[in-house]
Amino acid sequence: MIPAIVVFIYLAVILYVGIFAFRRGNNTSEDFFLAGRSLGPWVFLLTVFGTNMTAFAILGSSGLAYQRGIGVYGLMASSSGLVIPLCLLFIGTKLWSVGKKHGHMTQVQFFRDRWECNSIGTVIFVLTALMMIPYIVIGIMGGGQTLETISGGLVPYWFGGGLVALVVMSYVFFGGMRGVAWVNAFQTTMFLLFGGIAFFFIAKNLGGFDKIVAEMMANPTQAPLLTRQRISPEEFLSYTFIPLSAIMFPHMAIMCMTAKSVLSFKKTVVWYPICIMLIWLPSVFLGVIAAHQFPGLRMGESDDVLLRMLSDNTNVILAGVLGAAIMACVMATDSQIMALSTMFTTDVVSHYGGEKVSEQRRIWAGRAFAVLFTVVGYAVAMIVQDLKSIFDLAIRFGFSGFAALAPIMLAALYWKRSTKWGALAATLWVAAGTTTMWWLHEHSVLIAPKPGQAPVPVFESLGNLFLRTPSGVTIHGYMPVMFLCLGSVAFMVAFSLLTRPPRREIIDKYFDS
Amino acid sequence: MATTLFWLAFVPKADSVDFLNSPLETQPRILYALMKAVALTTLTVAFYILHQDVWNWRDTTPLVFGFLPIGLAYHAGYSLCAAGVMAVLVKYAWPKGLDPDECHEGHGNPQNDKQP
Repeated sequence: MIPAIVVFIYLAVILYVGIFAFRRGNNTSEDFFLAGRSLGPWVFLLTVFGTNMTAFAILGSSGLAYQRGIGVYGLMASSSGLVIPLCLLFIGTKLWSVGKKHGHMTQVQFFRDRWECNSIGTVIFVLTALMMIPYIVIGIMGGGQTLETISGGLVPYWFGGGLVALVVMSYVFFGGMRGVAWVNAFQTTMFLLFGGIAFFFIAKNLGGFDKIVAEMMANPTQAPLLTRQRISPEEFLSYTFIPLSAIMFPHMAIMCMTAKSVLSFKKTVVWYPICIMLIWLPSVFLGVIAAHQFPGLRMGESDDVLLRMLSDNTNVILAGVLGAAIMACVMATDSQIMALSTMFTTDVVSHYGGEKVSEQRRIWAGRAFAVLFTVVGYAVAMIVQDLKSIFDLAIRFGFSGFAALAPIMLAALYWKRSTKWGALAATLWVAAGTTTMWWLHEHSVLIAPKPGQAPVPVFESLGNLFLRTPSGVTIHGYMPVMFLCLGSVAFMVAFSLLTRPPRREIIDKYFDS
Repeated sequence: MATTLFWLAFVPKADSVDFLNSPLETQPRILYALMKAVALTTLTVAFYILHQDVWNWRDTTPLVFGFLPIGLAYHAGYSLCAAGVMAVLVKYAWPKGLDPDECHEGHGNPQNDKQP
């Protein structure tokens, strides 16, 4: 129960941090939704990084490393350490600039104005909002499950999930984006600090990692985990498209607009790969070591190996603090609730309400949406508790979908000739492609091989075109996200060139003449 | 993708640059900008290729620090080098003219980068 008490104290502290931020804010909608575009370099770095570090990233990475080995780090972390800073450097800064010059708060606002079309903004709004909802549900589910695990079952799932939802809702309600930013900065610092300490204690308790690694090398079933044998080079290559999703996640795009100055991006771009290494390297390595400590866990069961390693190898206080830090990642749902509230207020209420909607009403609409999404998210998390795997899957496809939308953002910012028809064609391609891949995934569940086994064809008649691997369906061995991205580029270019170019006034507005 | 990103970022006004007809005194500047774009693009693409370290695929040894398999240590080092590459890009490829206030506030003045 002691670790659970530590987590309760931690939740009280972040509630204070989030609501304390409320006191510093002005009473404007820009302050509530974008923290007044005032975040300095270090808070911006920690916030952007914290926003992107979800339960899926931390618990999922160690669970996946348990099944597939050390290659998970190169697959997900080091590729993100290259692609995400590049996106922030060339897309994030430009988005910040466009937002500041023209007062945009969301990417949909920008798309509507850039292509002078309500419908394209609405289509992208609906698609991104649909892909965001599973994140909120999973965040609340993760909160309930983590507290239940840490407390040894004393804190029930419904109570843990409800507590997490209540804390997040409170500081989003009072603190808005400023509260979310400061809480994320605090949580990232906590995780970076205590993650290193826990890694040291686990190593000490196990008698040194060198001994464990030597034993694993001598064991034929565990030795492949110390190599990349369970990941194909094609999957490894095509996975580098996934981090493109970062810049199209509404919470990341909106976060880009909170920087005080474009110079705030510099530290984030340079330090992002190091922050990723500091969090992912221990998570992946401990996931692999867990295969030696707790052998025989199946997919899904291995998601909590990091928590098991902590509770078995550290003292109760440290396990509690680290459990709290893991909770922090689980609670990245705050920026998603904030982003959805901002989108609904800006892209629906303000867009259709026009000048009639006052600043105060916008803030209260944002707060009302935050409450609504949290309550609905909690209700769904409680009702469909047994369907967690479906929401996990939705998030995985969400990554591919958001990544494949990135060319639209790139074209909007850099390609003068891009048109709304190109953007619409690319968006529909992404929606159709992602749905088809999901159907193929579900269609081939029964023939899915186990980790370490060879992929099998989904349709015998099509040979190796669609192959089912332990984790999903590939196209000629490559992940579908690669084809979704390339298709998105092709649709964007082809339909833009085939349709009338944007007006000169719009080009002059968004590009230096 | 990286190449596209770079050319879009470095040569946003490529269609308005007529090298042969531009004044003689501006030609070295244009050439320098193009050479810089090529060098930084090459650096980024080469670095991306280094991510695909097929030569480490089936190896566990040597164990770095006695416990870190080489495939994992390589990518940990890759992350550190990524920070170095980003520092180079931030220094030499930083997008100009993005801040509408920068001419009033004094672009690059560290005091302007402090928190409120």
